[in-house]
Amino acid sequence: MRSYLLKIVVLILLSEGVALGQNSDEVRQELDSLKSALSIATDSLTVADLCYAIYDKNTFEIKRDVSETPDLLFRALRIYETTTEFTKLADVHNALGGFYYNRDLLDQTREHWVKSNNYYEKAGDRFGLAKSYNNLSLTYSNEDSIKVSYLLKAIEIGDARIQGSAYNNLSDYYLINEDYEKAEAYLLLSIKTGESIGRTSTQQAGYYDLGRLKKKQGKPEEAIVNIEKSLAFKAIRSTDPSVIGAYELLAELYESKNEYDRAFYYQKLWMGAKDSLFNAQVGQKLLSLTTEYETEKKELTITSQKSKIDLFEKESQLKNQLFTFALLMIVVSAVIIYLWKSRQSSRNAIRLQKVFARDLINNVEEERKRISNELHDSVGQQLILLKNQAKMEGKQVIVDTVATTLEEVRSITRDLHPAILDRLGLKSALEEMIRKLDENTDIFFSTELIEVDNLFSPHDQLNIYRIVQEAFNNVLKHSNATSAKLSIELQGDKVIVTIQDNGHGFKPEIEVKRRDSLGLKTIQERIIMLNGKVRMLSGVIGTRIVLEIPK
Amino acid sequence: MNKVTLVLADDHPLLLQGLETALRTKGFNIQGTAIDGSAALKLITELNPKIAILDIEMPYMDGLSVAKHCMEKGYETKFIILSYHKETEFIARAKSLNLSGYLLKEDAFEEIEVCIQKVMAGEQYFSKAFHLKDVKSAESSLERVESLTPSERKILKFIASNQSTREIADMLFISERTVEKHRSNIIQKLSLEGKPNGLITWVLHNKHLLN
Repeated sequence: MRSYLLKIVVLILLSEGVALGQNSDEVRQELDSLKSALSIATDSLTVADLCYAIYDKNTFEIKRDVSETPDLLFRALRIYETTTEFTKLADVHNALGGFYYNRDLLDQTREHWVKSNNYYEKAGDRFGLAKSYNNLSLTYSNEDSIKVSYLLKAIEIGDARIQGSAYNNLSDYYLINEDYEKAEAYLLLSIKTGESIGRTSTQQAGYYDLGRLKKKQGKPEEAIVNIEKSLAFKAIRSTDPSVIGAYELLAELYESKNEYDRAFYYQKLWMGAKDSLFNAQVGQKLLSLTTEYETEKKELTITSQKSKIDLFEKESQLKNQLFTFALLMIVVSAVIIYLWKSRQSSRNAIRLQKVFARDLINNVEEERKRISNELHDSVGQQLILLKNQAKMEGKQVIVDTVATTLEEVRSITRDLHPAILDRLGLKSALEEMIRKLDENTDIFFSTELIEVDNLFSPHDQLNIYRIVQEAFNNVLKHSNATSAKLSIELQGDKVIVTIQDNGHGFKPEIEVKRRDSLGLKTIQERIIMLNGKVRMLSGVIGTRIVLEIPK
Repeated sequence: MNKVTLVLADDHPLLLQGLETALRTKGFNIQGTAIDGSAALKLITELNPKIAILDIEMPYMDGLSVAKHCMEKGYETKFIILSYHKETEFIARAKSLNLSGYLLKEDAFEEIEVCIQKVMAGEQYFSKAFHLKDVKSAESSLERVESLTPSERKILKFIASNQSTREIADMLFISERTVEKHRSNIIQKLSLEGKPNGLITWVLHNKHLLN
């Protein structure tokens, strides 16, 4: 109850110059206009002043938004700190101290009030200085002598407005420490000071405290007189603990004197005031709850802002990831396209290479045919004429030489291009080939050929002829075979050409890959030109090359 | 005036000219000459000569085709092929087409007159270059051996080394039936028909001829 009273005193001091009974609607209107002024204010000092003014008005608004208070004060503080407005700085620190004091945070309170004290001193504000000393004393307990020294300093300054409160606080200190004489002396000083400046609230508080002191001293008559005197001022609102305490004390005192009418009267007043006190306490409680709520709300806002920041971070992280992913996709697709393109171009290169190989083979064949024909038409014919001429003239030596030469030319032209293929067809050409091989080797050749001459173009016939020729070349060169066989048969819409020997075989898959094995490669190129397939089967019991050629 | 009418066709002007001159001097009646196959066909169908002497290698149509076409159309002209080519298949084709003669160009001037005479007498004449393999002209055992095909000679060697038909068939990747066929051909060519174990006896006596 006591400390509560002190807070009220401080409150009174802080709200200097403001009429106590001011209508709360008016206060609210003023607050609204101040707030709207703040919202459009640009000058920093004006902003600071408005912040402080709003705080100041707020202290009279019971439903005030206390959560705003520190914001406003700190905002003002930051601005004032850049200036030399020491009084205003001191005022703000003073207000902040009060804010903490109401929440029993004495360390923070003291910190601000010390600063406030320093700034008032710098500013040479004696009233402020006194006020801050008085306030500072409140941050110390009644057991602490520092409290006394602060109060004495406040009093020393000699401003009556503060002295009244300071004397009261001093007496309070002595009352707690049961020095009733000093307590009474200071109370009287307090009341006197109040009288000198016409401050009724100081006098009312002084007489009430004097009454309490008298009661403690066992002087109920004097107690009743002083307390009733205090109530007569009506300077302090009825919900104030000092007023309620007064009713309670009077009820008690009259009861002890058996003056029940008066006791009952004060009892009633006390009950009613207690309710209103209860209401006020509820209000205070509500206020602190509101403060808590507002603080929580603040925290919630901060939390939500933090979570917003988190969210933003996450979003930007997501964006980054998306960006990275997109970048990765672009790179990957670029690589894929590049690989695909290079694969395409290498495929193209292979295709071109094959086309080239085929063109080359065809060109070679054409050229061979041309050279063969040239040889036949020029050299061959000349030699024929020469031989006939020599024979007519009986020159046998020349006849023999020319005959040998002619035979060589014939062999060359035949190797270059088989005329028999053009004239007699594939079957005859192959039979002739086999006959020649049979005549000139120890290998036993056999054939099983169907008539195929009308199935293929001259070009295709030449390719088949060359494949068979190459296959038999291999037989002669590598196989050591004693027997070989060529067969051509029809199988549905395919012509199957089989070249078989009983030699020691080879590994086709290795042979084909060998660089110098042009023969087998050429076989493959030619079979492709024929749209056919070639199978090379080789083992210990010989080799079999099977060509499948569509008709 | 020789009654033998001739048409000559060759795409080599020098040879054609030389042949024409040679035949004219021998008194043959050259009705016309051509330097390609289609011209030759035209001449033959128009002039209907007794004999047409054709090269194989000619533009538009080769000699064999011209002859075949005319014979199929029923012309009575006899055909002699005069060719640079020496391959057996060409002669075989000429024979299968029932042509009257086949001469090598290099022997043309030497043999042409004989050939024409034989053909006019209704016989066939093929260049002496191919005669050695003719069975009918083979007199001695050596000539008979030479009349065998290379395959027949190889089988004969296996027979000489005392191999059975089955062994030969296995070794040569052929059927026993094929070996038997070759065997009977060999017996026929060596004139050993009707003699039991004739082939074995012959081989034992003539081993030296096989190498």
